[in-house]
Amino acid sequence: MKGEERIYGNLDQMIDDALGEVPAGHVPNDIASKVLVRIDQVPVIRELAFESTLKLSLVIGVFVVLVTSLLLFGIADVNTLEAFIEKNRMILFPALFMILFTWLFNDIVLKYLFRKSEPKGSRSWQA
Amino acid sequence: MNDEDLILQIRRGNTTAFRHLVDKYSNMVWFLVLRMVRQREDAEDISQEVFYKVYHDINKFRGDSKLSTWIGSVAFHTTTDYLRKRGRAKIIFTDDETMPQVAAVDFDTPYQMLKKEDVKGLIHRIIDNLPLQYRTVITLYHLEQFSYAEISEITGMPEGTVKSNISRGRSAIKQKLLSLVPELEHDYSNND
Repeated sequence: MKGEERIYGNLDQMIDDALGEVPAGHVPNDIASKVLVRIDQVPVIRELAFESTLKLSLVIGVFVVLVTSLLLFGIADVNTLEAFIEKNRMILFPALFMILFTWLFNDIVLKYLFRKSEPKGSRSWQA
Repeated sequence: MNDEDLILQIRRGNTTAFRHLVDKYSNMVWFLVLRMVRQREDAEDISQEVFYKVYHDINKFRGDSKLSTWIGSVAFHTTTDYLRKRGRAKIIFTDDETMPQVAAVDFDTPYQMLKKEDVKGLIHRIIDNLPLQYRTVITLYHLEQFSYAEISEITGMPEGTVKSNISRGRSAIKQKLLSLVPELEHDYSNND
């Protein structure tokens, strides 16, 4: 009891006692472990997501430079490119989707699972 | 190990110290969160979120208040944010002049068969059915043993509002208890 006076009659005293008692049910005892696992995982996910975004940006950049070069040097014109995409879109779009999906799955999910199983560096007691 | 040492060690990345901190304050966080959300699964998720924030924000703790008050404040705000996002409750912590309404509580044990523990169990059920702001301050005051000033710091309510909410919450509990078990009034005569 801190500071304030708590004087009640019998019924009030019983209410007071009940209010001060912990409710039924146990407190989960593995909170610390779960939080520490999460603390270890978050930087790994961030790092992988960053790596993956960087690689993806690089590929898109190369693709844009390639198409621009083709157009600039007159090797292809917009109409030819458009016609090519239109003609092959049933193959191009699923292929693009598959490549992106495989890449992301490999880059984030597999690497994440692989890294998670690696032993962590010791963060033991540092007095 | 005292709180200052715990904070220092956690800031150095010592996970053992963090485990000590969780052991020390998990009861406080758990019972406050559970009283506010009333569901174990949600309370588990929120309690983990609270300690995750504590670990990450420990550098922001300047020691102006006690560590328990700061952790209580993190728990309170994390839970109110959660409730707000879920839209489960209208989160208003004000000084309401009216008596809080307690939701319906099923109770049909005959008075003759009633034991003191049953009455205490019934009181716990009544608290769970109080409006959020009352069950929160009552839990912080009676169960967690925080002072009015500390509760004011945790919840952001003025100290006067904290006092009146605790008082009205208690009155509502008593009223509901007597409406469910009127015989208690005669058997437990009051001195006040």
